[in-house]
Amino acid sequence: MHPNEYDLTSEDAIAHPEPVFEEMRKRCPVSYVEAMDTYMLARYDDVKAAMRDPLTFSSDRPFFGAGDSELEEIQASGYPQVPTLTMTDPPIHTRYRKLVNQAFSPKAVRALEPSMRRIVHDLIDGFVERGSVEFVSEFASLVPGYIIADALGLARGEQDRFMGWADDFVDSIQGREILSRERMLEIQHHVIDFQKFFANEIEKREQAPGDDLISALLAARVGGERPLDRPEILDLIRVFLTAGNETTASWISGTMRLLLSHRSQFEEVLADRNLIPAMLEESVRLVSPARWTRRTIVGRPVEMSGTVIPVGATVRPLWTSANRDEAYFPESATFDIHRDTSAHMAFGHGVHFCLGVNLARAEARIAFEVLFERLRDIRSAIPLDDVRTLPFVGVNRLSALPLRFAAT
Amino acid sequence: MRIEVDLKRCNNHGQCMFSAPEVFSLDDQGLLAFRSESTDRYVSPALDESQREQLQEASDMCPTLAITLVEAAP
Repeated sequence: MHPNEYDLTSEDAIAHPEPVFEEMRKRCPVSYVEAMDTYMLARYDDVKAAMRDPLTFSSDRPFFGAGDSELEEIQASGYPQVPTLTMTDPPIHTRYRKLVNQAFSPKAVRALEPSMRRIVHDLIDGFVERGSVEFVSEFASLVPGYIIADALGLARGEQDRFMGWADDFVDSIQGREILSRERMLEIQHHVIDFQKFFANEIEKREQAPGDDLISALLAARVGGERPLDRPEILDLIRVFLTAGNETTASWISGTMRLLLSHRSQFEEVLADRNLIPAMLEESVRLVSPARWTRRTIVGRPVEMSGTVIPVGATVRPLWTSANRDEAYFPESATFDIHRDTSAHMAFGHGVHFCLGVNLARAEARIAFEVLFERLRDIRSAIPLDDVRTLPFVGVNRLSALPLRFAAT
Repeated sequence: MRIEVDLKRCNNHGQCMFSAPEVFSLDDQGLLAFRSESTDRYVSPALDESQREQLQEASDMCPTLAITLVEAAP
């Protein structure tokens, strides 16, 4: 098959790229996809090698809208966009990463566990007596959203706006080549709304600091010297909001779908709650909430699996595909909570490895611990074949997962 | 005080070098530099007490929990 024939832009392929990725792994592990002007890395070894060489596979890329006069004009009414964690390489990346790493350390996350557990209980209180729930919108999406809102010291009532902004940023990152003009304009306007909202929140913390993450960012000193400026803090909040919301929501909802379709393993986990972490590592491998990341080749052309990728090319290392590479995960499409998942790259790899990994793992674990404590006889309210994955580029999100259950 | 790195657990994410750049580094292949000295487990020579805080942070931050601070001589 000629590489250009791989179609990743149809609605079906966007929602379910796994079969296309499988073809790529087998026949053309480094494929140039013309519609996205991008080289796709499908094999585990190539993805990992790219992540180990962050200066050749550079994260340094322009912000959404840069170079487009209409979008730039909209952006001019907001704050300048400054890249911090995600769109930078060492040593710039190193400075910011070091600054925020501690806020997400296992120790810091352990301190948040009681409040996470309370949030999960509160959410379940909201639907437990009904005996039914739309699991994605009434639970999975709200768990990370409420936890982030609390961490940033924000009112939970703003949650819908955060999720909306997170969606805008995800679209602008994962599939900017194939967005409609209307959508691009809308995203750029929403970036300004986001900036203005959080600039106001930052001002409030400057007046009256709290024990929230924004106040901590205001108190932090880059390289032990200067404080972060407002555009830097806005970009860090953008990263927290984008990376921490939908990914964990997709993980929690995707896990529930896998449990419902693998009844005996579901029963096994219910009987032994100590299996929850292993079950979650296997589900995050299969779900791969972020399907890919994006890099630009800098300095020298790179040869991978027999294909030369030129300098300046856009590359997408495919997490979804690496996590299903048979060389590392035999029977890779099979959900098996007892398999060795330690090599999976659902949280990425290398210097940009997921900052929020400890937080995400704790959120997902606590979500299922409390669900299993409060609910029993959990069943899908619709045939599982009717549970759909949404055509969002580069992410793995369910449309809805209506459940029925009994309260314990 | 020494550090022990379980090189079987270590996945070369390089987060340790953000916390303790004087002790941890990645080589040209993006692998933890200690891998040139051993394959299973690396034990450092005695390290200066002034580095304790950053080594503790490196241990705390390691995504695979591969780094341990040890007090006794090996």
